Amino acid sequence: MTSSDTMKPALASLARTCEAIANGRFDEVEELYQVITDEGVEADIRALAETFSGMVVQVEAREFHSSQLIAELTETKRQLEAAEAKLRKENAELKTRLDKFEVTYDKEQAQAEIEQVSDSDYFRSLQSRAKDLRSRYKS
Amino acid sequence: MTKIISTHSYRGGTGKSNVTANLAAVLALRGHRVGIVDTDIQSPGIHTLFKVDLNTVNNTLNNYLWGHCSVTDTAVDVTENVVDGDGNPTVPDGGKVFLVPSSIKTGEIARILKEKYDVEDLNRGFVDLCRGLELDYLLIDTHPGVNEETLLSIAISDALLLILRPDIQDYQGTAVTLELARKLEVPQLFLVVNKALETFDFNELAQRIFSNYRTPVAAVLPLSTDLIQIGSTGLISTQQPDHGFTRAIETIVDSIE
Repeated sequence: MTSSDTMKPALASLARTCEAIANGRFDEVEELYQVITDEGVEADIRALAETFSGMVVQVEAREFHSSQLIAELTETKRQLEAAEAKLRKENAELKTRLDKFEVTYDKEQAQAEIEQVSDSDYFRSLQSRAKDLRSRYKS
Repeated sequence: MTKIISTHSYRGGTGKSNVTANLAAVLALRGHRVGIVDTDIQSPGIHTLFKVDLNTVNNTLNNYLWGHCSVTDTAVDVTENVVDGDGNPTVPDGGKVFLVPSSIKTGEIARILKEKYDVEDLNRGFVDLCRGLELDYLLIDTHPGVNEETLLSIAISDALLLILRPDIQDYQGTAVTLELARKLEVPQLFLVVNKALETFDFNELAQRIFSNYRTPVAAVLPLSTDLIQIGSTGLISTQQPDHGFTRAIETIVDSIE
């Protein structure tokens, strides 16, 4: 068996593993372990396969860590959005409450109404007699 | 000597009759002789709070104004109808509550609105009532809005209670009535805020209203369902002495007594 007889399939295995890793399929590394343990394969290739398997573990670990981070960020974003919506609602409620407290009215219109009554003859007569009228209940 | 207290509101539905009736009850509980005149001729209602069946009453304010009887003939002694939660009379000796009701007969309401009457007769009626029944207090339950009867009631008052709900229409109407009362030099003016939502901070509301009108806010009364239930048929102040509404009424009486 020549070295090229064992090298070719080993390199093909490495290529397939590489493609699987590129596509995120970390569990398709069986072929890699076969190359590492096949004593018929040249030592250089087996060493390469070993380095390669070390890389797979590290890439998988990083990817796992990244997806965890993404999940955490997504959850944080959801919480932020919920908090913002709650704040917006509370703000609207507070504003409504504040509007109810606000003693506002049309002052000009009120003044016009006051004058309409106080300029009448009846009101003037009442105004001049008010004190006297009240005193009649005090005797 | 009689102290005249008018309760008025610019619009209807503010709980004016309810406040008036409960003020009368609290004053009577403190041993005073109290008269109430329902001058809300267009839509009388205070008699229901004292369980008066107007079908059994011969003379009302209408009959007096038409000259059919004296004003004291129209006064119904309702002292026994001021009852506690168990239905027992609560007014002590010396205390009295008289009510001069307005007619609830539609024909009589229509007639008095159509034919009008002399407002001076109303004033003479008040004087005669105070003297005839030796009243310590005369409470006048006025008609909402501003007409001659209302202005007369305000002019003769020692204290005017203006009842308002915390909303824009009432704020404006109250400003108008307050200014007219000031021009008539009414000695004591009070605002009573009624039907405030219980979620409001009552102190803050009172503070804001006071600083706007420069008039003391005698009480902020809550809008609550139990008030609506008892309030439409009876007196809260004697049936529920510990209720927030009752305490507010007591505060008002403290400042006018």
